[in-house]
Amino acid sequence: MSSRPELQAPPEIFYDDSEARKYTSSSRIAEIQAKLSERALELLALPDDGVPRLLLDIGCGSGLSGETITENGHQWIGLDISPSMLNVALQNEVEGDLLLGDMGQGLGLRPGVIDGAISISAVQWLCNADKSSHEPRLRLKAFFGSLYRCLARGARAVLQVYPENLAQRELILSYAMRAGFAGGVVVDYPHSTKRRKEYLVLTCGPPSLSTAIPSGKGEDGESCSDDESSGDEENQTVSISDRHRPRKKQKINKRGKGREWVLRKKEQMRRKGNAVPRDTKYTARKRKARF
Amino acid sequence: MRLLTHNMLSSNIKGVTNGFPLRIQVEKVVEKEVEINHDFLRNIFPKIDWKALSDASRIMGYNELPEVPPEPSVLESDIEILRKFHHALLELHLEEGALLCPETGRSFRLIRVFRICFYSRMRFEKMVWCLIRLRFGDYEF
Repeated sequence: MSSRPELQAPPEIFYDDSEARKYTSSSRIAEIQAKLSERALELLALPDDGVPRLLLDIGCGSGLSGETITENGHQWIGLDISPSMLNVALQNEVEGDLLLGDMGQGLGLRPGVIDGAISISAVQWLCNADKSSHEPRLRLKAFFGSLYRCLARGARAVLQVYPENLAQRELILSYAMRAGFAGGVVVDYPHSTKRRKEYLVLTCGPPSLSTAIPSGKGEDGESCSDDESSGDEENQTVSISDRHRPRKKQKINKRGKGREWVLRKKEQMRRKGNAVPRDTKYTARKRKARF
Repeated sequence: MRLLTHNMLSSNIKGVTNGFPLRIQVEKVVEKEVEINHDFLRNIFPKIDWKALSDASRIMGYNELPEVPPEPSVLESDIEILRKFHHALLELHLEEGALLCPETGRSFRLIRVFRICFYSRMRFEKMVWCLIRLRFGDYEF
């Protein structure tokens, strides 16, 4: 059962009541989500003036990331597709208002109202076609388009994703760029399989000095080693799947095919029943080069 | 659901040109006390559609908010108006009711009932979405 959850069921079905309960009661998951949310808020680079902002939490689920936002003093609106997960959030009495909806259908917010958006482990669900009426590209387009519209000028969106492969990562990035976002990917602990986390940091508006993308953790070699006793060392490099494998060069046979080969082939064709001219002394005679 | 959120929401039904503001159908309003933060109010003020906020607060039963939006300079000094703004924006909660799309009339329910009637109203394909605000302890079953 180590396959990705995205391949098992659509999110509103995968995250049913039992899964929602498991997800929230697991302290390990809660800890990881809290860390991811903290890092995402850090990458959001909101001005440090103590003024609470209005943020959007996309794929808020049971409100684990929303609680981090509240702890940092900001107001938020959460969106999620799974009613069971939102139910858990309500039981936990989160501060933000919750919307039930599909991010791939557009966010339904007025233009320019949101000061920042975060998303923890949610956007990769858009890349799977869960219903016949879904087309991942259209959903990505609708999502990024509406996100771009509802963000205020200069606001950022930080999306922590778990893309399945390089193709998915590129797909998500390309639709984000198409919607008008500038930005890039920040990778924390790129060489560790367990701790590697990717954040899509997107900015609205023209790129400027303030929109420089920060570097990921662990890149300068410090504290890169795995403390966990899994035994798996961190010397794994990032695997890049080659889309264009070098084709084998076709061997060019300078000798060519002689008279014997031609006669053999003609015999084969005759046996098949094709109409073949009869063999004469002219068959497979060497012609001038110009011919 | 607070009026802060209501002020940001627009109907995302296909074909609708102006889905803002959503009309409120009130069934139950609750007032909760929230700590006031002047900086937040001043910061969010330019983004708020004042007319929608004042109309909505009137529907919810709070008539103190002036119809005419105050000048930003007034907000700096007048604590009283900040108090009223804060109350309307963050302290009024719509516990039960519905929001209606202004053009199509499609309703987005705020549901308190736990799960059951929920799926029959959910039609994801048609991009209808609902706002849920469940209060776990208030319901007997």
